[in-house]
Amino acid sequence: MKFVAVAACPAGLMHTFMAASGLKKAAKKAGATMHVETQSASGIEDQLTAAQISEADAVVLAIDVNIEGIERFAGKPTLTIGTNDVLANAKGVIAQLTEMGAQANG
Amino acid sequence: MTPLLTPNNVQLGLTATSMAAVIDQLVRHEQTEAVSAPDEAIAAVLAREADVPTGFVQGIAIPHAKTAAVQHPAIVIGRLAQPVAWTTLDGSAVDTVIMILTPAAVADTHLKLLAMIAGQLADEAVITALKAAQTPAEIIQVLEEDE
Repeated sequence: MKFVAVAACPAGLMHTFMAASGLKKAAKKAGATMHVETQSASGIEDQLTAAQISEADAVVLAIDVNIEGIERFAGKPTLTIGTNDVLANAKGVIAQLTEMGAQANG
Repeated sequence: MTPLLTPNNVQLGLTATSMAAVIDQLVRHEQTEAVSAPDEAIAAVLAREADVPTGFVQGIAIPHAKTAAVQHPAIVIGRLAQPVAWTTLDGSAVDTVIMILTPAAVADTHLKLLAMIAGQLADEAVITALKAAQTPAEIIQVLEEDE
């Protein structure tokens, strides 16, 4: 499975990066690919490419604030949650994404 | 640039008995010299807690704020004598607090450090090691260590 994600939090400091890191680690453990764009105090980093989004089986937006470019994910199976949801249970988030991706592909 | 993660910035055996008191003590810690307006900095951290609580898991909380009340970024770490109530993701009371204060404009170098610490905390093994660390030097080492 291939996933893409955007992480963003109010201060753009800790939770953004914790969520990004949590998603990457959990995806790796599950054998999935995960690209994470962070929208933080330093702006947008690791910006998702059109190809990455197009190839993704599902999208997760781990965001506590409005983000830039949400229209890029129109039509993709998208899970919108808070950064704390990732921090609390990244494994569960990946499981849910896997299910969404499987349904979309089936 | 003054290093942000040093054993001097770790306070052990804090006796505060509430979240607000912990934040107050850490902001007023003598090593937090970057803070020009402690009252404002404390208010900013508490406002962030009210907005989205920063209690994490296993008794760890990471209160933080980006505020004009500080001149330079500061990381202050506190270990409590007794856990205090805090809104955490797993319902645990908090005994280890990693507080981060940053000025309104943050340099990229500091953001990278924060991102590094954040990434470390997303690792269960790091959490376990952090809980087990007993001295300021050990605590700093755990946060700095890369996988």
